[in-house]
Amino acid sequence: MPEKTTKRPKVTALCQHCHGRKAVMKRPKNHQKLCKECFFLVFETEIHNTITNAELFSRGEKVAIGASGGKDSTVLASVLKTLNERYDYGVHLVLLSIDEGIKGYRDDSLATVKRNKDQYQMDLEIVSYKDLYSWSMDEIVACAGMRNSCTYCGVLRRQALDRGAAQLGISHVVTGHNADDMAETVLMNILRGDTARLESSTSIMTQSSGSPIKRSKPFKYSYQKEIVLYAHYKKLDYFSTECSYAPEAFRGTARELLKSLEAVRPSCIMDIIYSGEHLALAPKKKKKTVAYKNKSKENMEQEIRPDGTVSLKTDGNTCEKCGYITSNKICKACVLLAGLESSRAKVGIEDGSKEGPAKLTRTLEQLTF
Amino acid sequence: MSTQPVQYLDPETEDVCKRCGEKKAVLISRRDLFCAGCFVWFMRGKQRKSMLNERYKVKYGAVAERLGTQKVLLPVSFGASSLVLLDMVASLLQEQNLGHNGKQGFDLVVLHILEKKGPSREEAEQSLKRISESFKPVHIEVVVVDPNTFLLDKTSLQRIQVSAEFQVIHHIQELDQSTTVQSLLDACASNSSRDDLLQLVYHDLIRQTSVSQGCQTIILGHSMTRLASEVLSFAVKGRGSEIHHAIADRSISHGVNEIHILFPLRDILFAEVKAILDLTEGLEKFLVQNTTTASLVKNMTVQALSTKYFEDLGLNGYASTASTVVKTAEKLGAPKREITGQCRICSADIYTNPKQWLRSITVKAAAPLETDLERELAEEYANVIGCSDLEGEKLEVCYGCTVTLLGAGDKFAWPTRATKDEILDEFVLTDEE
Repeated sequence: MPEKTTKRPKVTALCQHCHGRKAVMKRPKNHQKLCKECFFLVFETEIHNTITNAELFSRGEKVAIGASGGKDSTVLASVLKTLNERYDYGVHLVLLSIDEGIKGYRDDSLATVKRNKDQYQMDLEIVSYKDLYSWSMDEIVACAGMRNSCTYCGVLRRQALDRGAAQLGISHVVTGHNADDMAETVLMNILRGDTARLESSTSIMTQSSGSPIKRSKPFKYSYQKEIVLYAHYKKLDYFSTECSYAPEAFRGTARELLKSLEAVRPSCIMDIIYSGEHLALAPKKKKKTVAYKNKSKENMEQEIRPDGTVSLKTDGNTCEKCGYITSNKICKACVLLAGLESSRAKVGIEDGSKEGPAKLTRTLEQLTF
Repeated sequence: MSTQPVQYLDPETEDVCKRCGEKKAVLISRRDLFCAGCFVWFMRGKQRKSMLNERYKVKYGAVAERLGTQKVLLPVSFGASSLVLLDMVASLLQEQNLGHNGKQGFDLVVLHILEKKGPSREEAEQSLKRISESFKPVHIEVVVVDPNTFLLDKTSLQRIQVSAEFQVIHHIQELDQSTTVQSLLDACASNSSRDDLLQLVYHDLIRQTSVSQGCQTIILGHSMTRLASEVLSFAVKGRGSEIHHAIADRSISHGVNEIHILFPLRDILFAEVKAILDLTEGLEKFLVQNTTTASLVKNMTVQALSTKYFEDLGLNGYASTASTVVKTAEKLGAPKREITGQCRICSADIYTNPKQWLRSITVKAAAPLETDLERELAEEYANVIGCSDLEGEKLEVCYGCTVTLLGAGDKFAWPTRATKDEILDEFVLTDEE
């Protein structure tokens, strides 16, 4: 009998699933002690169950992964590649990135996405705000101030993802929204009284009749902590700096409440998602109106937009300026851009300087006196 | 401009009440200056607006024949909200009595459920008697109930466990004479689960007392802040499908009877309730303050965290969020799915099987063992610990109770509700009997 070179683990320190390997972590979802291999298996299998239960993918489909270089999208790309090979979904995966034009932040995260492209052997397409809208976020912040920057960036990014996917001929975009994000969204919609979004706040796939691009969230039931643990044990390469222009006051209060609740009730995130799936608005009582004899039924079917105009199309509204889906006559992105355009200076001062406040902030942080 | 819902003024102020224009203003609320009397009157108006139904008015002739004598049950815990509601409803009855030659629109029954940290039975009866006497000639009936009444109609306990596959397992355990609700709750491992189960007991006792006293209406002293935190608690506990039912003015059927449940203080914030308590003479001395010693977040319950959240919002000038949450919840309806069952713990409707839902998103699978050492360790594990499969019958439980029972621990026992078949078996006589 050769001498043992390593210490033999105790029985109580073994993995609760396979019972044969030493446990290296406690799972955030149910506090079970797992080894690395079992954690990989259950994490990936749960995402596979989510994908198959919701029928997210179809064979031959081209799917774009919204890649930002952060942990969610990096783990999403890695897991989808693994599952596509293991279970043979037959989908073609592409990385799709948005360059907001924030020097000191986005250029570093895009470098991470380019490395991911090589690691996962996927095509990468980068869509830039500057190319689409003639504005970068640094210029928007200089014009509109930092306080409202998230509004502009969120509106523009959501449209940029759709435009980028359309350029590539892709009709499906997956994003890395995880269970914590879903729970936060449910809480925020309740707190803000956003009844229009309340029913669909936990939908895993969103698609409207007017837009050919559909979006889905395979990480709907995956905890953020588990995503971090997966990236850590798989030694994935990701970028983890926060955005420089991101004051999120109201989202922050919901997030703080969620973290306090998690200390009291460890499963509260999954409980909130279960609640969110069962929220439904009461049906409105239809008011009977007098039908005038002269009017034909065709005219009565016209849709009235929120701003009072009438839509002549039957398959969703589109923006008069850029042609993308909108609830109003002109889409939100065009409205915001028009507001910016009126404030834009005719002649730029200091032609040679292209660095924005983000770069300056990061430079100042590194200074020592 | 005030950012808090109720802002007291300096006693030296020269401002005059905007309503009566005579007395000195003592506080600002809802952007208006109020004196003490006008503020209390303004708030009482909100309570009366919610009880405008004909059954609560003084009735004559054919209407009295049709509606009969109405009885209203008001549970009082000696908290601020229930005391304020008792004062408002009793003063309404007093006005009806004086204005209609001794006639009243309804009879009031006040219920107090004894609590672990609350007053004793003698103290509760004395307090309620003194409050009742201050509203003469209105007669108020007083009922004090022991929470152990909850166990009287239960024949057995169920030892309840939740397996790793999220299946709720139960088997019968003897219900002996020394068992109390408190001893059952003491066996519960988690603070939040204990609080949830205690609320179950209270709701059951309130409904039972309403039926036994012949009351047609239950009025609860939930303020707007309390209702908002209830909505948030339901969402956090996985009971989103019950929100539309729990906080709306509604009717429930109990046999041939119909019981209305109202929240007359639904348009009043808790800060305003406390202000009414301060400004009403002779009411504050009955207040029983449950000192919240839970400074650590880990020791708080979900309900306490929600309440603290909304109170903090109120202090920071966002008190309207509570109103937004309550109005949003009023717009909700039942989920657009079929009811697949009923919970045996809390009798809520089940729309999605919690076990199947949880099992698909929490996988319990093992990666294959690869080395001889790993296989040796697995055999050693099987010898030492073994497979501990739970045995017992299956129990149909909703999602919220599944998580509550998960938090309760392995040694927990609780009575379950009888199904229709069990009730029929108990009362239907067969040929042999």
